[in-house]
Amino acid sequence: MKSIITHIWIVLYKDFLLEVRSKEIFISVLIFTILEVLIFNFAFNPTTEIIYIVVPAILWVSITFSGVIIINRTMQLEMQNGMMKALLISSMSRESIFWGKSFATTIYLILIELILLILLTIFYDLNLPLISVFLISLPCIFGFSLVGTVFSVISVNSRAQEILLPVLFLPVVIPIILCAVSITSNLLLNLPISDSINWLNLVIIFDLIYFIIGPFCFYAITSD
Amino acid sequence: MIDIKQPYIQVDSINKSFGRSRVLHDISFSVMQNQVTIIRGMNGSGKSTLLSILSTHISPDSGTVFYKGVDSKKNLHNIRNSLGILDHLPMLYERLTVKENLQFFAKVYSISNVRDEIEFWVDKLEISKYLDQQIHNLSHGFRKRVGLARALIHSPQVLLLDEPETGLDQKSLEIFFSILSEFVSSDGCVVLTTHNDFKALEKFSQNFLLEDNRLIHQ
Repeated sequence: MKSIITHIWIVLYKDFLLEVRSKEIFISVLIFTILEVLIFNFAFNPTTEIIYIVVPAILWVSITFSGVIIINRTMQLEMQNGMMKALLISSMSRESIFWGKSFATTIYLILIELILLILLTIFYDLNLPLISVFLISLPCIFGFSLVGTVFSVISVNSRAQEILLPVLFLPVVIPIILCAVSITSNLLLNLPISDSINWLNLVIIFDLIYFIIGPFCFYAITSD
Repeated sequence: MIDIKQPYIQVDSINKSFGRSRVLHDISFSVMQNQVTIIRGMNGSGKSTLLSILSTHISPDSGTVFYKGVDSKKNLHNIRNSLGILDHLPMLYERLTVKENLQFFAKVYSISNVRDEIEFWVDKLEISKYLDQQIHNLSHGFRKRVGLARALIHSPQVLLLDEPETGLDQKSLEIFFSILSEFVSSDGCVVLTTHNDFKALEKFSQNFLLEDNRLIHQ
């Protein structure tokens, strides 16, 4: 168990070190995210009645698109110079690689979400319950990353990797996105948390399933 | 007196096809400690596939590879710990420095004295002054040297080398041969693929030719 945690940390640390050096993922996704919010801001001029429906949709559409780019890019890093092969034939367990990559994606997406929440508050002049929205979205983002990591291993080995990932991944992750939009909407409407508990339970069950079966899928995909 | 010493690697009748294309047919050989096994063959003859099977990266369609008498499918963790691999690709992160790459792999293999091991190998491979250089700034030959340091950092018992001499200058080749000789003399075993003659390793080596998907002892 200790070695799995150490290996997850090594993968995570290496991913962030690579990002600090190259600034490839975060800067490009950040610019993409800001542009998304700007476009939505010009496209919609929501009235106060529908703003609580529109804003959660904008938030999660932006997270989804940014997430696809992040997931694709973090896995591509492992495909350069035969790095994935080096990890697979090392004594590091495949669970560690899978969970390490999933946690790295989760942290990128949390940072993007924080920036998105600030942007949405400014652009739509909202009084967002920032902390509640942020905390409640953590399991959604984690589930999103787990599913994304599984599918990125499939897509990154194909020639049409950029197209294949969203085509395979988005249909599977839709339940999480739907739950996330509903929970965020309820929070913006100041509804009690009990109104969102069923959605939240669904997300947690989804997370647990992918946390457990994710490494098996990863193992199966990376074995010849 | 009969030598009953067990081979370190025993390859037993392995076959491998990709789709309809048969790459390896009924390959059997064994590798003892203190021995270099040199496998030659044309491009596409299956040398890299054979090394990938030995490295446990891919499985044969049939047949078995034994490490110290144990089936390679069992006890994978220990077998992988005992292997050092230098592929066509350097298996290094371009944006990390030489030191960071070696630290990463030392931690992957749970080495306790990371600093000492890195110091030892960078001195031996004469790459100390490049320690803080990112890999993408290094020449092909130096990348290969760093790749060899990565392959050796966890003190493996077996080295699997895929055309290791490609792109190396005379100086790098000398370093490479001296490290291999030392490695083999200290109970290691090496399997390497090449197109060249390795006179420096002649006294340790057994030679094979991969032709028409079959392995021929030379």
